[in-house]
Parts: sequence; C-alpha cells; structure tokens
Amino acid sequence: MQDAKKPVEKVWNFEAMMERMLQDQDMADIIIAHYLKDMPAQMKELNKCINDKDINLVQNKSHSIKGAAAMIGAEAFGKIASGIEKDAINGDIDAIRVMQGLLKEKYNELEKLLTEYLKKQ
Amino acid sequence: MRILVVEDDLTSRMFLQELLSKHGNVHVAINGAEATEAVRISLENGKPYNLICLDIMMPEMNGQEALRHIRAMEEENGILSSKGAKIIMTTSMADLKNVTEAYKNLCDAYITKPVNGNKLLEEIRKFELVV
Repeated sequence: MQDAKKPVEKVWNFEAMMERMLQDQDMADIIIAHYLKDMPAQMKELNKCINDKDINLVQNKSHSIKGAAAMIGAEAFGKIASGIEKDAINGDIDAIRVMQGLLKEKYNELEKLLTEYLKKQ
Repeated sequence: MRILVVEDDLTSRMFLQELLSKHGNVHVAINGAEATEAVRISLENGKPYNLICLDIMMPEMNGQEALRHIRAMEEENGILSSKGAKIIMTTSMADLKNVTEAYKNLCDAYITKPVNGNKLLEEIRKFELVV
C-alpha cells in the first residue's frame, strides 16, 4: 500500500521544467531534443562503468544523469539515478546492479513521453 | 557581457547556454581544466569573463579547484576578486561543506540544481550585469 504522505515522482514533470525554463517553449524543445540524443550514450557509459565495477565513475556518471533528469523534470528516472549515486558513494555494487534494470525501465517510459511530445510540436 | 558556462552535463550546459546567450556572448567548458584554460586565455587577451557559471562535480578538475585557480590567476593579473568575474556556483552539491568552501574560495553566489532560470537571472541582476 502506498504511503499517502510520500510524494509520488512523475515520469515527466512538464510544468516544473517549463517554470525553470521561463515558459520558453522553443528553449524547452531544443533542450529535450538534445537530452534524447545524449542520454542513450550516457546510459551506455554508466552500464559500462557498472560492469567494470568502477565505482568512482559510476558515481560521476549517475550524478550527471541525475542532474540532467532534474533539469527536464524527469523525476522518477532522476530518483533512480540518485539512488545509484548514493549506492556508489557507499561502494555497494550489488545494490547498483539491482537498480540498473529499473533505471533502463524508467528511461524507456520517459523517452516515450518526450518523443511523443516532440512529435506534437 | 562575456560569459563562461562550465558544466559537464550536456542538458544542463545547453540550458545555461540558451538562457544566457540572450544576455551576452557565451563560451562553454566541460570541466574545470578547460575552464581555467579559457580564463587564462581571456586574461591574456585582455578580455576577461564578466560572469562564470561553475558546476562543482566534474571530471578532470572539479569546480572548487577551478574556482581557486581562477581567483589565483585574476590575482596574478592584478585583479581583486571584487573586480573579477562574478562566479556563480551552479551545482547539485547542497551540503554545507561545499557551500562554505565555495564562498571561502571567493565565489559570488551559490545556486543549487536544478537551476531555475528566474533565480539565475535574479542573481545576475544583483551584480548589475543585466537590467
């Protein structure tokens, strides 16, 4: 059962992103297009760092992914990246491996929404 | 206004570049090492940056170290930090240690990510760099 007091992260918080971007639609479209182009490579690099058990790089990469997610309002995806960053700080590679699949799953949801949004513009 | 955005993450960098290009000429660096090199060249050319947005957690050289180098270079060129570039830390590191260290190293403002465009422009207005 879900805790009523706990905030539920949105896959994509469009309103929060637009507020940060001064309601500038053109700017938002450019940023999202770049985000969609960049993130698969970022995820690939993160997966390589995890497979190589390079904890420092895992921390750096997950930190970047978290920052980019926060910028565009990708709350659920960003929360998983943040969790991976914390696990990397704690040196817990097993916990990171558990989160790895979830991160991909959340990104797929996000990518679908962002792609649909850009198609409508 | 001459602006340097120092940010390793493409999305955050693009946002700052898009936002600030309406207010000046924006250069970008993807880590602290590139940033200090850009500042060195700008000082050599007599065209120092008026504003630097500096992330902290970056590969090669982090923002705290870059901040120390930048202020040291300004000092070597006879520029007091009060007359030097306005340096705004733009970072997700919100812990007291990082904030204290950044101010100790003479940053001018500290904004935590995700950066809100209004908040950043508000800080820049305080420096009277934009109207």
